[in-house]
Order: sequence, then structure tokens, then C-alpha cells
Amino acid sequence: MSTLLEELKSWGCDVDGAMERFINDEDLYRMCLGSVMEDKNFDGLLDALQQHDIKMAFEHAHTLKGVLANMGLTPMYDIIVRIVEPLRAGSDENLLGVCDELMQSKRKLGSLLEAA
Amino acid sequence: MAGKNKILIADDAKVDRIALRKILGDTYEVIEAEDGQQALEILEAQTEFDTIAAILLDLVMPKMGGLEFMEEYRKVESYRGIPVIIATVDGDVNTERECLKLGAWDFVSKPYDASVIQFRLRNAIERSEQQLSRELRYRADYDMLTGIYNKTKFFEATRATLNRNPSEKFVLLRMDIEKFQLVNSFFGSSSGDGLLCYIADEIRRFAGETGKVSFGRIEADIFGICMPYPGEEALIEFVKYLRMRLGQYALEFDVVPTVGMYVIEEEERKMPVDRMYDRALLAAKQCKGNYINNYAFYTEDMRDGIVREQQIVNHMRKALADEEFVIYLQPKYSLQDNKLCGAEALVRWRKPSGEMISPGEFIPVFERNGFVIKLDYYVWEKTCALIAKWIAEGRTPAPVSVNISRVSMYNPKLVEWICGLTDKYQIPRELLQLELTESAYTTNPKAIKETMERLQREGFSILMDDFGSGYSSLNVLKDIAVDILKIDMKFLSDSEKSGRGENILASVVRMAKWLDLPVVAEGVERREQVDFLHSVGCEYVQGYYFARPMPVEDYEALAFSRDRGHKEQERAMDAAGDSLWTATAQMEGMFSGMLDAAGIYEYDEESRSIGILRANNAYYDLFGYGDINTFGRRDSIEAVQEEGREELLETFDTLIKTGEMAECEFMRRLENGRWIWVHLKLKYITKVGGKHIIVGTISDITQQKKMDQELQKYRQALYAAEHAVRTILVVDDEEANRVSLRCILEAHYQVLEAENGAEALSVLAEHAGEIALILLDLRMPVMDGLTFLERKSKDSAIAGIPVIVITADDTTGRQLQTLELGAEDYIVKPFVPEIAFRRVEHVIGLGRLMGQVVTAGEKGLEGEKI
Repeated sequence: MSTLLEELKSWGCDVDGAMERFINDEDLYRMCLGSVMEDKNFDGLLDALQQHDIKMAFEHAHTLKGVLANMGLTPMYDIIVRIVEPLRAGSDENLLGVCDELMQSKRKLGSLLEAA
Repeated sequence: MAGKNKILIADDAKVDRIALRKILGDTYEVIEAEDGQQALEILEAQTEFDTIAAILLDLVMPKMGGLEFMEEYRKVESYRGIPVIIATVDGDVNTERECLKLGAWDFVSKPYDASVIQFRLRNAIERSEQQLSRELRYRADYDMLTGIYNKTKFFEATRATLNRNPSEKFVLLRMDIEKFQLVNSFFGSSSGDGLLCYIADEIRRFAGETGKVSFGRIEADIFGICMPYPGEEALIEFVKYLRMRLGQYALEFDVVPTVGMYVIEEEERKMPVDRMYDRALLAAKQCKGNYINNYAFYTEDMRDGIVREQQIVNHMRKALADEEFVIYLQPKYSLQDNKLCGAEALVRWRKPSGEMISPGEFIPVFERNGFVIKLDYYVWEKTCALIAKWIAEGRTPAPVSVNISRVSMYNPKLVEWICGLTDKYQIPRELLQLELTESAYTTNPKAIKETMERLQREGFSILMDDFGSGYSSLNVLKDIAVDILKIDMKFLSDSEKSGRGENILASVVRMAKWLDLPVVAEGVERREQVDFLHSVGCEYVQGYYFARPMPVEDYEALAFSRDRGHKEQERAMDAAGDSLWTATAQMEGMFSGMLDAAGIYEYDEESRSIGILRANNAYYDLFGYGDINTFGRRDSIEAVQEEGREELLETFDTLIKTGEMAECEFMRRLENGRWIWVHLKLKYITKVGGKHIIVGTISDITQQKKMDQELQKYRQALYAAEHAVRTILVVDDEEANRVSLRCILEAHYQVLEAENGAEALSVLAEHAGEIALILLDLRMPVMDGLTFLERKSKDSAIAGIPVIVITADDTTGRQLQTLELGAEDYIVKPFVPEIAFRRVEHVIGLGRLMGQVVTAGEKGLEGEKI
């Protein structure tokens, strides 16, 4: 297993589960990790939260939740769940802070990918 | 299978699509859509032979989300066969419920588990394919309009039924509807279709679930039925019942089935079914157009008849062109002075060889193939020419009547044609009389009545031929335009009971006088008949006793050799006939000869008592000769079952209010103590001294009631079988779980419970045959779920029962192991009722579908083996 995957694992990601979904195709998995970094839903979520557009924010967050779950990015998934649920209930209170956490963890993912 | 199944993935997250493509790419051809809108476009673009096998649908997408997509998807019927599996991220129960309502088949949750996705997809596709193949099979085997077998499948099914019951004797029936094409042309083809569906339903009702009756729609209005042969009498009863049921179809048209029957003899059992059908068809041809007997059995000599008929058909056109059809005239005489007062034009076929073919032989053939229209016109024209010739010769001819066959009555140009002829030959219209047989009136009274009235307005006299031979003679008279009645003596002398025929004739003559209608008695052959006719006041006669049908020259010699000098004068009737007693006396004569049981009732509305004044022969036949004596004249209601009495009295009350008609059904005791069901139809006549005089006709509907009850029983049994409660065994150590599953399933299933694997095995031992599904927890004391599954898979008696595993968490590991052990699916705790129920339904439904497909397959094979 490559260093990247080891590092993702030690960060708390469910790499095994994700690899199973990608039928152990590591290249494909890496490619997808790259597209997570470019996923416009992150910015869309931030924008929507700033404009208090809860419906839009929920759509972005919800999509991210699915993606992060499938990618096995558990630390990020745990954060997005904390955004999705209040939004589902119609509240965006304090979510900008949580979103900031999400962006930080996204940067962490980015640095891991760059290092690899 | 040609190529891989196509899967449509609709998800806006590219990564998710990539993951799915990775998981499914080997097994399926994957098509991607980024949102609902795109997915719909892809669905719209698919062709019939290149369809999407399943859709995996994300819920939250830009442009058009999953729910909106489902709204559109469910609007298109052809899409509904494509299973949709919803990808959910989180257990958003409300959304999932919404999806189920919109027609989603199942769910998978993100993050995806490769095995679960594969499994759910495969399940959904199999189910939809089975549905499709069922539908294709259906299209191949069934008639799309009526939903019963088509010709090919009916023949197959008949063969299979014959083979399955080698020791039983069967009969093959071929049925169609008299003049069905008229229904389409008069009432529109949707009415025709409605009638066909009604007929199919009636046959289906009759066939029930015995498995020994096969039936189908051959084509157009033709149906086939093969059933165990119940003996001639019972079969004829059945055919009559069928006619009665079809007659009840609400349409201004007398729906008369023609039934050809071929009793399959032992030595002919191996004959191909289509040849059996041909024989039933031969039989059916024999009775086409015969309104009295609408059925016929196949006999060997029918084949000879067909050959003969074919010869007639082959030569008819040339014969008409060559004038081989010649006019014969049969004189009519006035009884008052024995003088000739007219003639009926008849037709004979004289072949160049001199051979004469009897009209009895060729007329029915022409009536069947419609050629009779041409022959009719030929005879009319010849007759007109003859009358014109007589006038030109300076004679004063008496009227000559010509026949209008039933088929000609439907000729929309009939009036035009006949008027055209009298104009062309310039003859007074009263010299050409038109004879129409009574049964024609009953076919479509409204249309016929209109034509008759037009002809009368044009100055023609209408004779009703064969009066009394049909079954509604008495009703017809008051409604229809007719100037002269003809009654056949032969019909009278056929009557078994002596005196009865004479009674009828006397009644008819009396009634005709009452209505101001002259009566011609035809078929008069003996002196006694003449005397009798004299005595009852019949005015005109026709028959061998006076003169046979003769060639024109002979008739001319007879008619013009001496001065007929006779102009008949209607005898003035005594105008006192208006009083009640004359009326009842006449009525009495009338109904005494009726074929239906009838009685004249007297009703006192104050005391609500019903008395019977008179009853006819058929009444005594039905209730027994001592009936009225036994029950007395005043209290005939005593014989009626108590529960029915109030309704009967109410029917009388209603009748005297409306003064028209009323009817009811009730059970009534016979003289011998037996109970029968009767239908009573009442017609108001008049009021005499505070009492109402009412005529009632009574029919015995016991058989019909019995059949209805039998059918009701069948239906209940069928319903019970279809809705049999299916049993589910819930195995879980947590009582809370068992209770909650019981709550979810109880309304639709019977639920049994077990606390662990061991207990489950013993419940199974007791109820093995009944349990349709097992819901199984994995972690349990004593015997856990896995051990149970292993044990179950080794016991052939219970190995086939499907299992759904109950699991605490939605991810990985164990569950896969259970799927490998043969579980069909799993339900996650905490249970979402709709989802748990749906999953149970899916698994049980799959088993049921499989069963049906297997049975259908076996039946198909059985058909093909032969």
C-alpha cells in the first residue's frame, strides 16, 4: 500500500472500504481524490452559508456527504454530517465555523495529496 | 442474452458516478446522467429493443432532483417497468417514504457497498424481467380486447385439457353472434367491443376454476369453448342459459348466439383441434339464421350438406342471370264466399335440366350469404312486371304479396328500391303487398318499425308472416306497423295438447279483430281446418286445400277465367267489445296459448290481497294443476316465501301507482312442496269496482339463481385463495424488535415469533408448509442466526423459504456473509415501517412471480409436446 493511503488511514479514513468500492484500483481512487479537491460544492456550500441560503447550502452539503462517504474520507465526513443535519432541520446557526473546519480538513487532504 | 443490461446512473457527484461505474462496469453497461433532466432525456431516447434495465438515482441533484424525476417517471407507463433504486446518503426516512410512494423499488445507501448494490440491482432487474416476460407471454397467448386466450392458445389449451383428462368425454363449442356486424354499424364499434368483452366475461364466469374448460376468442365475434360433455340435455340447457345471459346485455339489439357443437368421440380424440373446430363450425352453419334453435350438433351428414351448399353457391349468380328462378303464385281465398282474393308470389329454382330445387334448400343458403337480397329484388321485379302486364291486358288483378327476407330488411335502400319498382312499372301500390316474417321484428324492433312505417306511408300493405312462431308475438302487435296477420296452420297442429292450438288460433283471430287486423290462415290442408276457421271467424285462407303454388299461366287461367267480382268487406265488429269483460275474455283466450306461464290477478289495495282470476296452461305446467285450488283464489301469497311477501306486495303497490309495468323475483312453493325461484312481470290492465286487474307472466328462474349462487361460491373461493394470509416467521431475541416487526407486518401477514435459531427450527417443523418468509436476527443466544442459516440450508423441507436478515448496522462484513448463505436481503434497525414492509413484499412477491412463471412455462411445454 502506498504512503498516501497509509497516511489517509492514519488520518482516520476508511481506506479499506473505499478501495473495495474501487475494486482496489488505486489510480482511480487517487484520481477521484483529486476531483474531490476540485469539487465546486465546497465553495458553493460556503457561498450559500454566507448568504443564508439554507436550501442551496443543504443541496451542496448533501452531495458532499455522499461523496465523502463513498471516498471513505471519514474525518471530513464527520464534519459534513454536522453541517447537513442542522441544514435539514432548517438552521444555519454557527455553521460557518463548522464549514471552516471542513475547509481546513480539505486543505489537509490537499497537502497529503501534494506530498504524494 | 444479447449483451449486458444497461444501467442508468443519475448522480451529480462525478466521484460517485465513477465509483458506481467501477463497481458495476463489468456486469452492466453503465450510462451516466448528471441530473434528473438528463436522465429523462436518456429515457426518452431509448428504443424498444435497447432499453434501460434499471436506474440508480441520487436524490439531491441540480436542475432536476430525484423526487422531481420520479414525478415525471411515473407519468410514463413504459417507464414504470424499469426499476428505480434510490441512492441515499443518510437515513432520511421521510424522503425515502416519499420515494416509495412515487414508485421507487428499493434503496442503497452511500457509502456504497459493492455486493449490496450488485445484489439489489440484480434482484430488481430479475423481477422486472419476469414481469416483462409475463407480459410478452400474455401478448402471445391472449386476445388483447377481451383478455381471454386467442385462437392458437385456445387450441393448445384444448389439446392439453383433452390430454390431461383422457377418460372424460368433451364437447367443443363454436359460438358467434347473429348479425354481429350490425351492432358495429348501428351502435359503433366501441359498443361491439363492449359486447365482446361482456361475452368473454360470461364465458369466464361459466368456466370458473375447474381447469377442465378451455375457451378463447377465435376472431371477430367468434368464441370457442371446450368443456366436459354433460349429456345432450344438459348441454342444451347450458346453451339456453348462455342465450339468456347474453340477451340481458343492455343494447337495443337482440343478442342471439349461434352455437355449433361437436361432441368429441373417443376414436376422434387424437384429431387435431382445428379439425374439431371445423366440425363445430359446420354445425354452427346449420343453425345460422334460425331464431328458434340457435344451436346444432355436428353430424356426419353435415359434410354432405356442405358439399351440396357449395354447389348452390357456385351456381347461384349464373342461375339468376339466366332466369332459372321462376315465380309461382299461390292463391288466397276469402272464406266468406270462397272466392280468390289474391296470391303470394313464391320462388322456385328450375335448372336447365328440368330439375327443381326446393326453396327450403336454397333460401337458407342465400339468407346466410346475403344473396337473398338479389333474389328478393328479382322476385319483386318479376311480380311488378306481372301485375303491370295484367293491367295492360285490361284485367283487374287482385293484390299479390311478395316476401321481404330478414336480410333485405337491413338494406338501407329497401324503401327506395320497392317504390322504384312500382313507379317503374306504374302499378298501384296497393296491388303489391309485402310479407315480413315475425322473427324479423324481434331482431331490431326499432329499425324495422321505422322501415315498415315508411313503407306504409308510401301506400304498401304489410303482412306479418308466420305470426305466432316467434317468441314475442303478442308484444309485437301493439307496437308495430302491420296491416294483415298471417298464421300458419302447421304451427298449430304441431301442438301436443289437443285443443291448445285451436285455442291459440281462436285467440289470435279474436285479438286481431279487436285490433282491426285481417287474418290469413296459411297451410290449410283439411276440411276440418276450414270448418274450424269458419267457426272462429277467420276471413282469409291459403293452402293446398284450396290451391297449391302454381306457375303464372295456371294462376292467370284460374284468376281471370271467371269474374271474381268480389271485394272483401271487413265485418264490422261489435263495438261493445270495449267493456272489461270482453277485454278479459279476449285476453284470456290470448294468454291461454302463451308459452310463458301467465295469470290474471285481482289486487285490492285496501286489504293488500292478491287473488288470481285465471291462469293459463303454462301456469299449471309450472306450478302444478292443483295449485290454485290448493292455495285458493284469494290468498295465493301464501305460497310465497315469507321474506319475499312484502316485496311482492310492494311491487303490486308500485304497479297500481304507475299503471304500467313492474317486476320482482321471489321464492315460491309448489303444490308438491318444492320451492322454486320465480320472476314475475306485471302489466296493469284496468280498475274494476275498486279492484285492480293485472296480468302477470311468470318464469322459473331457479336454474339461473342456482348458477348465480354457484358462481358466487367460486368467486369467494378464488378470492380467498388470492388473498390467503401468508405467514412470516420473525426470529429475534429482543422482544421489542419482534413487537415492532409484528406491528409493521400484522395487517398483511400472519406473524409467528421465535426467540432464537433453535426455537425457529421447531416452529418451522410445525408450520413448514405455511411460512412464506423468515426475518432473522443474527446475534441471538442459544443458536445464532448464522448457525440457523446453515442448519436451514441442509434441511430440504425448509431450505427454500426466503430469509431477510435483521441487522443493527448498515455496513459491511457480516451481512455479506449472510447473503452468501442465501439470505435474500436485509433490514436495518431501527426499522422504517414502509421500507421493511416493502422489502418483505419484494422478496415474497419475487417468489410468487417465480411460481407463476414456472407454472406458465410448464403449461406452455405441455401444449408444445403434442
